[in-house]
Amino acid sequence: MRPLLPVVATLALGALAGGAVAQPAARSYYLQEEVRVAKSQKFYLVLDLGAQALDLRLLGVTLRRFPLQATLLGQSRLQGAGNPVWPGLSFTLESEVEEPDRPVIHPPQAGQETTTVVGAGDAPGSGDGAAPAKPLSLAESLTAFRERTFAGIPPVYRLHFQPDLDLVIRGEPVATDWQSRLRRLRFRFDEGWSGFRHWLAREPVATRVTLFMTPDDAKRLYLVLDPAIPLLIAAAAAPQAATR
Amino acid sequence: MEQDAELTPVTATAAAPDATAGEPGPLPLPRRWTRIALCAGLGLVLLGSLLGLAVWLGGYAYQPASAAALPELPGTEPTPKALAGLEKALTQVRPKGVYLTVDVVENRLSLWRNGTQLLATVCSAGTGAILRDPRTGKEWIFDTPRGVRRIREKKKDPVWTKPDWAFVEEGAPLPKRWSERIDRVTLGDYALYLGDGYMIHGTLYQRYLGRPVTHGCIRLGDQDLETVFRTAPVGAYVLLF
Repeated sequence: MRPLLPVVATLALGALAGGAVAQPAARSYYLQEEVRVAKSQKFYLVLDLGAQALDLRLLGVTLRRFPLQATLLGQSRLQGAGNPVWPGLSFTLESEVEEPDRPVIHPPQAGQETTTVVGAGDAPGSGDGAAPAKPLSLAESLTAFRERTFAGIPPVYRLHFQPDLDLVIRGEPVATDWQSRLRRLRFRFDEGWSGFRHWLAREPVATRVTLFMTPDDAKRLYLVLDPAIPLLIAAAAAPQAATR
Repeated sequence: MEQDAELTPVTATAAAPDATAGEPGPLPLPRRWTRIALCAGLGLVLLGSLLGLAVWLGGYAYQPASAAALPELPGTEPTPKALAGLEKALTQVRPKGVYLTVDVVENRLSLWRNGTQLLATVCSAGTGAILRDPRTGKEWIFDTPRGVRRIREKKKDPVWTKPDWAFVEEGAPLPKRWSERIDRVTLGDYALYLGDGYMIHGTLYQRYLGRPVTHGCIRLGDQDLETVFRTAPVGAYVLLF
């Protein structure tokens, strides 16, 4: 075994060096990009691989941190998945994100006493068989509408960035029940079939990053996605021994 | 002919037990149908395998993102001095001194000084609703604007000049005299002006703090408003997200 130890150590060190550990060049590139986007006074996202978090930032200030349960990078097997490489460290959102529905306030007309909200729905407990509920105030109606809109935001969605990167947000608990397994299986099937179709059409299959977070975080993230929001990748800080 | 000869003994053997039993039994499936069923089964298995293989090949092989290699980057290796210069440049972009952050979805406001949180509290931000004037068809959207703002002005005992939407929302006619628009109560004790008519101010409806109920302004409770008013200077950044 002893003669093998140096070989194993060399392989392990090689693997470490090949991973997303911030080398000075990568750190420099990342900082240049962050200074550039921070100066634009627009929102941007930073995927911090060291902290296992996705940050929403503005002017260099972290406004909201989305902790990640897992961050996976995948490449299609048909395009050589042996040694995945980040396709870049700075991306721009290309997907269009639908704006959630807005309630419409209708001012009282002649003969009416109160302002009504279209889309606010029924008051809690006003369904079939329930006792008539107290009518909601305008503020309560609008709050109820917002809560329902938030609940309707999908917790699992895919965002496409340029250069070619798919960011899959999976806001679902890592559950082991059969329904979750079935859903994951279906997701994998769709993913594989889509990759195969792209390969048949000789189209490039984007590298895919999957972020696992809580459902509420996934929905909250959805609401901060501005058109063409930049995404920067901050690699883990290099170990002390490797820095100069 | 060869096929017939081959089939004959089998049929004879199969028919023999029925003949000896002397009673009608279930007829055996013709061999042709057995073969078709077998071929169809095999075909389905083959098709399923091919589909499975296609899906597997088209699928992604995942690994922890932190273990993936970084791309080749142009340029030379930066010196430690150059890296320190970039870190400093980023620090200079960040707001200095006191600034505010407002989460307009969760209705939370924080007050910061040089990155240290001084206050974290509930507030009320815009409803995001649309108001339509049935008489003119004019529309207003009650969003709190997201992005970067700065405190432009601060006022004690502010006076609100009610805009048209305040009357339209109540179904009231627009006043003919300017004085009818003056409201000395609604904004509370202090107001911090953010431009374009947006303010951080007080509220008469403290019970709604933490809910999205405003027309775009940010409402605070009395004590929090006083703290923010006294701590944040004119020119301080307000980051709304």
